[in-house]
Amino acid sequence: MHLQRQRYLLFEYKLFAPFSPITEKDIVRTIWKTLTTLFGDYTAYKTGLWMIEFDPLCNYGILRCNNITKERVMASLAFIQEINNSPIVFHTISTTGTIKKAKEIQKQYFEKHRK
Amino acid sequence: MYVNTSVECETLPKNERIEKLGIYKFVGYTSVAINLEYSNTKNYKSILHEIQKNTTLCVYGKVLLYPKTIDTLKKILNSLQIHTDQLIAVHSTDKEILTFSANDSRVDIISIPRILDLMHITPGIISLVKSNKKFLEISLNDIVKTKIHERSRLFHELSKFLQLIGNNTHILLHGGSEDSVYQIRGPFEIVTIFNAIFDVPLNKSKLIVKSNPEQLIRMLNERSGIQYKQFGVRAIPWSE
Repeated sequence: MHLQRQRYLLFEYKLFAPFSPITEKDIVRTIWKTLTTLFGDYTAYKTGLWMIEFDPLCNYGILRCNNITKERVMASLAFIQEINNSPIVFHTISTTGTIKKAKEIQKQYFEKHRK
Repeated sequence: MYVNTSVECETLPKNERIEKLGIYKFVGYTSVAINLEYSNTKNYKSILHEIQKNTTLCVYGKVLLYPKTIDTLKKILNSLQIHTDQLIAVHSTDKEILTFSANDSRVDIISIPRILDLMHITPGIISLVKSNKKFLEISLNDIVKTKIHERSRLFHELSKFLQLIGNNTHILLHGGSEDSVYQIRGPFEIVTIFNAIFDVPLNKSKLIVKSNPEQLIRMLNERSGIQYKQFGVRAIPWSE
């Protein structure tokens, strides 16, 4: 049996209808839905998915999953086309092993790309 | 450095073009190859220069041909011999045209953006492409934009094609061919789709998304004599 370690996925998104705000719940529900349609209930429960941080103002979030199903979670993010009827594009910035590192990367990335 | 080898924005209005190229930058691409429709009278350089003005991405040109017969393809290729600084891609479902273009040294890419068209690619064409050092361009755009019940068929077709390719992933390219901005997906996501859904090992899926397009652009730069130009570096004209 593989040793499972936690991974933190730092992602950002771009909403194409910025005046229809989305909440953390909407995003999590959509990710779960895509995961189950693509890989089934079994994989969806194995991911241990959890939203650690979400910022609707800066359009980014940190997801927790495990190292074995990390790629599947990323793939399901790519398949999301719309949330609450507003088109959306996700971009995975990086994956890390600790929350601290994820937050560091988020700061550096935003300083560099969103001046 | 990530290159999207199939971007359709030549005919778009300026605002939409800027938005589309902005999304490519947002998702992580650093260079794009713009699909240019073939025309005798077109000045490809000026079109690319016009597009380059609006973006910080590195812009390259790719002349996309849709020949109906071999004769028309031969005529077009003869007229295109002057344009060595653009990539030349052929899109067709005809087996003879595909075989001819896989043999011809002027063609760089055989493009198959629709997944259902992949069934026209035979092992013979794959081996010709491999021996003549060309590239086969596929796109995952169909998978992203279709709904659940149609998607499984596309998965089946693409996995069959990937089985046919086998270990020859060094001839595969991923070019987006996205119709709208909502369908654009980043290179990270494409790598994970290949890995998680089609069981292509990570190193090979990175080859498809990253290394092969880089190699293609390097080949183009060498051919057109721009050896000093590196990825991410943009030449600024004097007037700016």
